[in-house]
Amino acid sequence: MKKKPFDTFRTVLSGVKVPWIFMLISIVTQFLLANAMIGTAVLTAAVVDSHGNLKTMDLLKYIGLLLGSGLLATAGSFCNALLSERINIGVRSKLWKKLLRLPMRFYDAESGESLVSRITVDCSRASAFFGVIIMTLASLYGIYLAVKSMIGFSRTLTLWCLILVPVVAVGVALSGKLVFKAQNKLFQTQADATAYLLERVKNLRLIRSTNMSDNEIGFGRARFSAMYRATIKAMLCDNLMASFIAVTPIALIIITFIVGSILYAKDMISLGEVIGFYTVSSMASIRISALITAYGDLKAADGTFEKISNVLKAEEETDAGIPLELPDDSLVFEHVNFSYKDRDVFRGLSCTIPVHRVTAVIGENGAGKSTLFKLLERIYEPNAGTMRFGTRNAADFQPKSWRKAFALVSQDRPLISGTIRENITYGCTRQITEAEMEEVAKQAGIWDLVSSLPDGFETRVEANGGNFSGGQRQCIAIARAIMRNPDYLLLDEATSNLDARSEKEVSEALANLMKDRTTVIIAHSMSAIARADYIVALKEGQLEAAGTPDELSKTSSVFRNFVQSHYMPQEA
Amino acid sequence: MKTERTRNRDFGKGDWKSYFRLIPYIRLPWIAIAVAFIVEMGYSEVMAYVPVSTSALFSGEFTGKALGEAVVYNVLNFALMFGSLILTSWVSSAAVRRAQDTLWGRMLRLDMAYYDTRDPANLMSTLTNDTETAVKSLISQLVSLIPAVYYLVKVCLTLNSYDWRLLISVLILIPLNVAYVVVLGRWQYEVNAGIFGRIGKLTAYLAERVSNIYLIRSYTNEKKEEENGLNAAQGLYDAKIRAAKVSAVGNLAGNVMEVLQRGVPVVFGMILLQQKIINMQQWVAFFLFMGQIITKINNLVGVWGGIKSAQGSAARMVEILKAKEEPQKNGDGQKIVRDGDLAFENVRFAYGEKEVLHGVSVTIPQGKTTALVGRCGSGKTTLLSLIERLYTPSEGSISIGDTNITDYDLCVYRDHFAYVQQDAGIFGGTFRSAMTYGIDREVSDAELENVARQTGLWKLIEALPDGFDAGINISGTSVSGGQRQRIVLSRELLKQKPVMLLDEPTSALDAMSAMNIQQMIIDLFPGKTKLMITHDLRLLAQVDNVIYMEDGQVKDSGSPEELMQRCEAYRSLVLCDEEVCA
Repeated sequence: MKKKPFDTFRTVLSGVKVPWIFMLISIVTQFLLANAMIGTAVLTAAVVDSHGNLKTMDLLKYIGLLLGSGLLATAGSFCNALLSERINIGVRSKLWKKLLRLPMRFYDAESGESLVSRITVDCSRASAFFGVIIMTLASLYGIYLAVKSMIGFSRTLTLWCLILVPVVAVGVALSGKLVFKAQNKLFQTQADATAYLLERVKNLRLIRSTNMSDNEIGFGRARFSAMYRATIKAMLCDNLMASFIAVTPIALIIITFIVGSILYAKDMISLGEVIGFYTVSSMASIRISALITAYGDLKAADGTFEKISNVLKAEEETDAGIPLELPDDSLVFEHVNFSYKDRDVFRGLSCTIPVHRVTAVIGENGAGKSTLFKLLERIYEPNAGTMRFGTRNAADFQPKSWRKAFALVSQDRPLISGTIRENITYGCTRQITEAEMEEVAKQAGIWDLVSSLPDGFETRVEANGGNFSGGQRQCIAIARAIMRNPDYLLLDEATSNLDARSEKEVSEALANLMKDRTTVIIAHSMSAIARADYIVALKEGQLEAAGTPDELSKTSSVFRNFVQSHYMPQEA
Repeated sequence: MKTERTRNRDFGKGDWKSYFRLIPYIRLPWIAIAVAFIVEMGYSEVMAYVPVSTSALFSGEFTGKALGEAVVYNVLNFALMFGSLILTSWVSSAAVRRAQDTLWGRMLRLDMAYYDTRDPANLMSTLTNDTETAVKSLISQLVSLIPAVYYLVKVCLTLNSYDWRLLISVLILIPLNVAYVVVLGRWQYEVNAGIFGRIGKLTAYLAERVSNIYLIRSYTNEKKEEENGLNAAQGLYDAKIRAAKVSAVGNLAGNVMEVLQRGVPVVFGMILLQQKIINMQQWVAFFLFMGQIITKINNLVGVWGGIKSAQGSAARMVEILKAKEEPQKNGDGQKIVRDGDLAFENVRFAYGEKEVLHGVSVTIPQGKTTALVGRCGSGKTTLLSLIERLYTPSEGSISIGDTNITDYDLCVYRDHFAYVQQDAGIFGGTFRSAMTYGIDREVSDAELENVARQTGLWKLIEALPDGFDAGINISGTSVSGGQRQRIVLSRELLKQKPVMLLDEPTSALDAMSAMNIQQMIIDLFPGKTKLMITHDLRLLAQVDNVIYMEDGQVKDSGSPEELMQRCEAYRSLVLCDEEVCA
């Protein structure tokens, strides 16, 4: 239990270059600063005791100390920023590299948003941790110096002030717990309200057409009220804690001046010493509250480090295996079981994707057609059973070189933000000539589009290709697949996103792409079946039937249903 | 994402007018504000007396009276400070809540056209962040601006009573301080904007890539993406370092300021002390005042910057509050919809500048099934939106029977329709809540089961341990697109409305299910008016009536056979599809 924080700490920082020199400078400046502050207090005492007959030397010293402290503080905070930003970018890079190499199953378990915030938010918090450590050290040293100087002014007064320590500490610790709880509750209500509002704002049409506006006003009000209550509670807890801290200076005045006046009357202490003591003890109280804050930050950092290290410790996708340099061969599933986190897909699937042929995969929604593609590409590995490449186990090959043999044209979200060129050459490692770009664009049927755009291939594509029509997006994705020149082509046919004319354009581009390749199509239309010379029909996680269309029309009810539902009853 | 945000920030440059115009729109809790104001005034009063009472002690007057006074004033000061802190944040939280209520109510009633050009994420951040920024700033100005000025005046008078030269030494420093805060503030604002931009870039990049991780894997592009990610992170790093440099320069300048602010008056006070113009107690009080004044002045200068940055937020709020609301009713608004043929008469409609319907005249016969066909962008969905009165035609009229649809009370009118929207969404909750959203009668489990069987949802629900009470994520992301569409269909079927508007109701389903469900809708509701947008040309044999649209106009309408015979464009649309299917 005790060892765990240190473990996560090491996991997160191993391999990250921590600029220790900046850390050292930060600590040294903080220590010097603490000394300078005490120095000012001592000087103030001297000024008071001089009764107006101030030495010029002391005045200069006072100004010098002020200036010096400022310089030190500036240097310290600059070093601190450098330190934390260096670490920040180090951890960030490491985490991103790791994320790119984690198996897909990892992504199923965590929402994308939380993974992104791991890199953006949590890394910043983790790097702030060093600042907290420096502050802790500085506070401890500052307290030590202040107490030493307090004792120097008056031992008796110091002892009296010690009464305060347990009172404040207990109060702060208790209220600190309340603050933590109240803050959590506040975050929760805020997150709840944000999620609610975002969902509703995105779909106002639904609210309108279902006449739900009045109800939604009520739902919204409930969220705002919850947020309001949580805010008030958090604010009260905050102020409770702050008042425990703020009570110290008042108590210090009372103790210092009551006890001080008695000692002064007995001539055991000078006026300057009382004031000096008061100044130094206030410094100590500030340091103590800084220490308390630092403690809270340290505890919070603990959770952050654990979150990051959980990602870093997760097992990476293997990169082992032999490169795939054999001539194309059939792909064979043998008794494959596969399930996602919460959903079974295949139970004992056995089927063959024959080489150099066009295979159509059919089945109802949820029969596992898309999953089949993911297994073919080895984006996922089966839970049980094997996939073979001819006679060899597919798992023997290096995943990267395996995937290089495939290209996928998918129906949903085929594009990413960037330029058209970046989208077409996505995943290409070699240099692509303009002539080649043009050739590919022509084959994919987008040359007319590209040449009509003022920026040509450099035209921006917005996130998810939002600024292009469905047909254009598909064709750009097809161009990307042509550029990849794969041995195996995987087509996830668009359903009804396209109207008839666009569908024709896309299908022409596809025909170009499919030439001389082993092709697998997730089929939604008869045209796909017409292209196929082999059909795989899936049903309830298993193979229902496989063979030529003629064979399947006799053996497969899935196939017969498919044909029937695409049959045109009304022939002119 | 980032460009959207900066654009948003630009449009909300803000001005003083909209900042104050906010006040009449949101019901501010004026009594609570007044109480907070009084407490804040008390705090200023006491705070101005604390140095005077404490300085007696510091100058060696250790009498019971001096000690008592110092303690009383310090305790009072402390109590009032917390009192005003708590009150102010209480008041502003209450005001924020009221503002959010008002704004949300308004957003739910705004004309749909308002949303066409706006990003939902921005609207949401106006509702959450902008209200908080603007209202909090407004409240804090109302409560504490006058007390702060009052405090400064009072301190100046006190110092003047010691010696006028003390007052001068303070006043000289004020413009210097203001200049420092303003210049540095502007510089820092720019640098921070740079950081926000970079954070936005990094986040947008990561969010897109993480949700497209399958593509990265599939195209083995990890190396390149790794580089891109590092570049985005490097951009943020550079911006942060620039900020650190700026704040280092700022710190140095601030340090010089502090030396001036503390050192000069102290030395000056010393000289006055030596010349016996002021006494020891006055010098100590002066010294203590200096600390307070500097903080107060900085706060006051900060007020200016605070208002400046809240102005943008206020402007964005006012824009929503001022925007046009949906026309709820015309005159008294008729309360009962008499069913009849739906007729469009020379209807024109434009989204902003772009006209999408150019004079549509067509009739949708009551109690019949009508198919609405045409290529993408021909205006089919817009036609449905106009029937639903989500938008108002810019010209022409729509009527049911012989009543113009705008004569009906809006809620009553919309209650006449079931509407399956294109890519229709659901709200998170449970299957039950999603299926009965907008239905105010009690729906029995038997009824739910029945409709779930019709839409092919029952097999899924049956398998769930919690059945209809099984949870669904926000926006329905935990169910597949096909399932989502089946839920929407169930919901609209449950409503049992006289008219059904269906905008590609089965686009996410496999062909077999799509066919079955559309068939079911036709068979099950023979007496209802059904208007269906479809790309599924097989369905056309089943319908009574077809409307063919092209480029924002109705090219022809009639029975499918008639259209096949006389409408060339329609025929080519159907045949082209057949060709692909053959």
